[in-house]
Amino acid sequence: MTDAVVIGVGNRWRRDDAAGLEVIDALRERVDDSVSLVESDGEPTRLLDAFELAPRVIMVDAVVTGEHPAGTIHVLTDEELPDQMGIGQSSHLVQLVETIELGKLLGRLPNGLTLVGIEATDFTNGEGMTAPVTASVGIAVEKLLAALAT
Amino acid sequence: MADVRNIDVDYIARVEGEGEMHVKVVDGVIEDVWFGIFEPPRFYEAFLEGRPFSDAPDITARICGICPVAYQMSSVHAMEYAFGTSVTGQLRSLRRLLYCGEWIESHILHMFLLHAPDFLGYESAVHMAADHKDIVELGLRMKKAGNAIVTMVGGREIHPINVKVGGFYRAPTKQELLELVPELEWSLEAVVETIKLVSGFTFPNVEQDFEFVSLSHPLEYPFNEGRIVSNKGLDIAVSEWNDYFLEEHVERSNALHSRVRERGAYHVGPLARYALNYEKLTPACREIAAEVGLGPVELNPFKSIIVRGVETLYAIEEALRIIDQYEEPAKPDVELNVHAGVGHGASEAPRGLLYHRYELDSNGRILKAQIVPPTAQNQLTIEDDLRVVLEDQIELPDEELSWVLEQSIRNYDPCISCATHFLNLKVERITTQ
Repeated sequence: MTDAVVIGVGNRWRRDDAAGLEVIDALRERVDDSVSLVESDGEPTRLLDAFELAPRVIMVDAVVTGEHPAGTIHVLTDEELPDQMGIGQSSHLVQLVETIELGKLLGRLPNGLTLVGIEATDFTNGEGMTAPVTASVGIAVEKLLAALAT
Repeated sequence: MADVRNIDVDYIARVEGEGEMHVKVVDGVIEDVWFGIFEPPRFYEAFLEGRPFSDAPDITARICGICPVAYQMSSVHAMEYAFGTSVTGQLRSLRRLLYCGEWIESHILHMFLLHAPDFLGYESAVHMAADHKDIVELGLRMKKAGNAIVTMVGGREIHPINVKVGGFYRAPTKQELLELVPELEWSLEAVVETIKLVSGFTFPNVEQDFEFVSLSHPLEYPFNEGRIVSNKGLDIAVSEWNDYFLEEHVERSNALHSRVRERGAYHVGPLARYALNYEKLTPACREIAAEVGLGPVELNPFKSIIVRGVETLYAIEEALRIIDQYEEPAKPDVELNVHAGVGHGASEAPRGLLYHRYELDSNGRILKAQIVPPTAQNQLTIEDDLRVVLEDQIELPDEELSWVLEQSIRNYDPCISCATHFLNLKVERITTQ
């Protein structure tokens, strides 16, 4: 396996939002020491630190495009991420896309980043993901393992 | 002819909840100001029922990624109150140390990545970083010093797992804590630089006659313990919270709004703590506060960014003091005498007072939980601020008005994300003729 960090982003208590973290759980027993696994709740400064753990950075998160069926797996490079600067208007947190931009600006993502997004639908309070997202977590894990082997 | 202008922000990628501001101005007159949050403590309160008391710190820590320590601390103090136990000596100091780490992390994150861009006229931290890379790096390094405390004492960075009712699962060694010292010492100077920097910002001239509410302890700046006091005469035990405060449902929000029963809106957080505990700050804190023009009471909510800096300095000094005096305790926890009862706990989250109440059966099982987060307590005050700012700046074009209104919400570092990441913003102006 190649040196890489896989960062799962999400919240286990908001159903489908757990997808990124579930991927990390599944990878734990199946990767060697060259791969760092990081759980994140999206907090930007810790993400910036995680970016520095390996030259290759892969982020896994639940996403909503609203244009694809639940469970669809999107694979994007940081260059392909939609331009969402300035539209988050969060009063509390820096958005994920902003954090990636920040990482690039501060020289912490010299090789860019790959985002694996799992199309999700249910973000209500509680544990347990919907069936399509659960199925896609398994598929995403296999795809990631294949990618990490190269 | 009606002229309605809307600014909508609706962006979903990571959802933990939602926040919304609505402002309605008809023919130049403010008709409606509303700040709503949708937060999950209600879910957690229900979720806790039927579970053992020992689950409370770990479950409530998940309410917020930014202030998990606060939720843990209020819950363990509530349980210990119910069992008639108190944690003293080095274990008590370790709790304060953990809280120092959270204040440093949370205050620095808010000052550098969320609030400073407002004052410097940048749309976001990214835009600011493009021009001020060195400032952002300064903030990130200080924040890391706070992270390191939470990781060391709390067991891991997010949702710390080392805290339990009665103490800790494992107490750190002296050597482990000493490793934190160099970065904290570096941060001492960095934060003073930061305080000077932010005090040079331009602040809208807005003040309110707030009712400040915070914990007050006879000997120390408050984190975990004390009475609940206000500048309007309140002085009560934590266990009396429900006698003096009221949580009520407000239409359009699933978060309960809190008010002082006799008076109404009140203000929790750095400005309140500072005003009510000024004498308990260290000489260095009071000195820098005076140097940058803060009096013992600050009524301009926009200046909360300076007070956060002063509190960060306090947290760094306090962390260094605790580490210096630390001796590894013989045992990481105290014995508990589990029995039926009611427990109350309050602690000072970075953004203000956080109150927990639990009813327990004879096995220590939770029958009922009540969690009152600081942002719910500030909600009415935030709306009052919005009204004052609107009256002052109503002539501004929509875009600039939105900016200053958002900025005034950010003065409270609202934890809508304990619940939320997103603010849907809507400004509506109606001209009827």
